[in-house]
Amino acid sequence: MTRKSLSRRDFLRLSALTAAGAALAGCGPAPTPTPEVVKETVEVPVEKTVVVQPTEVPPTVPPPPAPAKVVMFGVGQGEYSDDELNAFLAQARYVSEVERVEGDATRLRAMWAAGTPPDAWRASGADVPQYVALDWPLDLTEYFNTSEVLKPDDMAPAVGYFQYEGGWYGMHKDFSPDMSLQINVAAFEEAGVPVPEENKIYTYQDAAGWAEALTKREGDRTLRIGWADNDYWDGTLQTVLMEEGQDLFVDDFTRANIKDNERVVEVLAYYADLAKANVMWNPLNPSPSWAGDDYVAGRAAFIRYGYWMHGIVIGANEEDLPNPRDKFQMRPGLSWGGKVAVNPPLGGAGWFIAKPTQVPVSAWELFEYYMGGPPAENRARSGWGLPALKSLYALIPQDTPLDKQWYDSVMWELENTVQTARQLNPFIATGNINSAWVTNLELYLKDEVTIEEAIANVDKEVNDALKERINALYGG
Amino acid sequence: MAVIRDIQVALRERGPKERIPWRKAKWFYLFILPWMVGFLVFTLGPVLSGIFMSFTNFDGMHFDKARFVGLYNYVEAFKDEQAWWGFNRVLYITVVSMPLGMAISFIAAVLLTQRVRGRGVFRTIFYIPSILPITAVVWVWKLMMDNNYGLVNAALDAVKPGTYLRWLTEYPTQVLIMMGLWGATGQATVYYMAGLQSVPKELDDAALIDGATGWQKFRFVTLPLVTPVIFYQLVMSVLGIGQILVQPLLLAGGIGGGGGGSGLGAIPPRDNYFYMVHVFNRVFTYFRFGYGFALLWLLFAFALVLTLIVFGTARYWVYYEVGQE
Repeated sequence: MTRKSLSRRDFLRLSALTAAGAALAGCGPAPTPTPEVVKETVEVPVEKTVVVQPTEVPPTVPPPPAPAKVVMFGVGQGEYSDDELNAFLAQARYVSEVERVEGDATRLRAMWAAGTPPDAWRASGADVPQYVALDWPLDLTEYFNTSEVLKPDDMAPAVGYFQYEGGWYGMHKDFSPDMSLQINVAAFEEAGVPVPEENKIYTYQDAAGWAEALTKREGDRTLRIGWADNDYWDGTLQTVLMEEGQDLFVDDFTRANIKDNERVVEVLAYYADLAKANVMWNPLNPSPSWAGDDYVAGRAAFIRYGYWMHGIVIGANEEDLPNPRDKFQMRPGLSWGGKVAVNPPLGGAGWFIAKPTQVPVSAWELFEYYMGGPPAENRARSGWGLPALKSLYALIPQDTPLDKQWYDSVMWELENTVQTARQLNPFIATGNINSAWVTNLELYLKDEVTIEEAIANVDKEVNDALKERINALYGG
Repeated sequence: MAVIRDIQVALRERGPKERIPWRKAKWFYLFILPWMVGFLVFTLGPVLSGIFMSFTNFDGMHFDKARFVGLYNYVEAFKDEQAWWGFNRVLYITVVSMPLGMAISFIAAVLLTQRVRGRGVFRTIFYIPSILPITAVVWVWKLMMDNNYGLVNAALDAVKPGTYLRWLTEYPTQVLIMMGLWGATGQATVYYMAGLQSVPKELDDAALIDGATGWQKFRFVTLPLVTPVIFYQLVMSVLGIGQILVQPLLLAGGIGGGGGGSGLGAIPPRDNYFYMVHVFNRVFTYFRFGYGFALLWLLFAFALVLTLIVFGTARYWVYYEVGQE
């Protein structure tokens, strides 16, 4: 055979093909999931005694022949330490290695777009509808139904966030009612404002009065803001609407009712008034850091976050606190005066398993251990959130008066307020409403628009975004 | 070694317009192949796909659902009031900070090339800000300029009690300009110093012998010889127009802290809502990647035209010692 030398034309052609191949690989489809092997049905003679082994994995998904590597995304050392991970690997049967990939939502999207999604990833329960719309998560219904560790009847109602359109796509690593109040009792005492009673639901109007009375100024400077609220604007609107059985979106999520819903207009106007009175951080007088930091530093008299603020309070150095630690207390969330008190988590962080994973059983083994094994027990003991398994509630710290106060308060709320997951729009992220509102609130505070115009702008921006997104996904 | 020798021989043997034979040139291509592949895959590929995507409604995740929408994104961009607002803010900050930055760094370079005691220390101090991580820089500035608890207001209050300025919300662009000047002056100063130090001493001496004053020496000898560096700085500044993104996002104050109020999810004050902030918002909050690409290409087109204009003016004011073809 005659050996031909490579011509320049051939060389360039080859180079181009190589480059194109490399480029196209990045645009390729997601890896094809391993075909499920259907077990052959075997008739067992009736007279023969059959020893039934406990089901270790869902019957529809057979275990892989050998332990496999699992790629875990978005779970830092703080949430799953190497020690815990090594303890898991030491006893794992289907996992040989766990690759920890750290990153944010953008990197996660990039991994999916490149066709190399992680096997399991951490994200908010609020993202479930969007992920399902993207066809990303594996339906874990069968896994939960057969698990000896993660039993459906042991799940906190909040886990409902992960149950969507008939599927069950994951669960929280921990959660909390997110609209609970955290008050600085010392600030109330100093201002001569009656300290809110425990286990009592106050109204938004009460909170407006507190905010005004508790704001402390020196000239134009704000030494202490009365209320440093969260910026869960969509969550605030939705929980208020849930009190009356309403929702922010129409049934098929194609439209948001903002300017035409009297209650929504009232709530936004209420916040605009508080911002104008400068008794709540606002676009013209923002927090120097964030509300939780302001709270423990004594720059905010009360805030509105979840039980996880307990972790921040007990973790702060005594000498950095402006007053004794037990003055930081928890109270139930507010009510607009509707029929029922509502305070579910607004999302809560949890885990998903990727639908196209080639190692579903291995990923599930990691998932099950993290959610129901020693790491879950450690998280419950840490006091940073409520475990998603009710059986672990007993591990939540109750040792000190402060621990006990926070524990009793949050438990009271779990029992006395609606914990049903709020409706989440699969087409737009929660950031859309926040972005539109903050932009227009600033215009209102600068007297460039009226409150009606600001709300109409928010309505238009959110609905335009919805229209664009639906158009992008489904055409039209 | 033999390969390199082959190339060297080939280069020596070829005539001015003569092509190197493929037998020898193949090694050249082989050596540049890794770079070429990298360029094609990581630069040219994304650039071309960016052009293509700007004509689609791509949402960042669904290649399969992306549809060709023609010029829709570009038409929308011209009708987008927030994009225009962001663009105008970019023009404002550019018009103010570009000449100011060039002047300050040039003056600093002139001073730092003088024979003064502690010159090395001053040079180091000037350069340090340009090597600091931007997140740390912004954090420090945020602490200094905070409306209620900032050091600057505290200092002003000490001098004149009752003084209170809302730096981060009423003067956010001015704060950004000050921060930019503080952070970027060092780098530009180094370039100017290099240019100033390359001015031949004999020209200075000749000017002195001819009776030139210090100012005349600077105006008619030093300055013309430094114009290539000034030109370079100008071109780089023009190319950087509209690139401001991270600083305004990090400088924005938190309204709360749930993710939408601080960090990269923050909405900066209206005055700091620059063009790239708008692009970032549309892409990562609204998932309008196709539209975001269109906005970016429009910005590129603007920067390109401006750069060509700057190049066009070069013949009138940039002095090169070698002849220009």
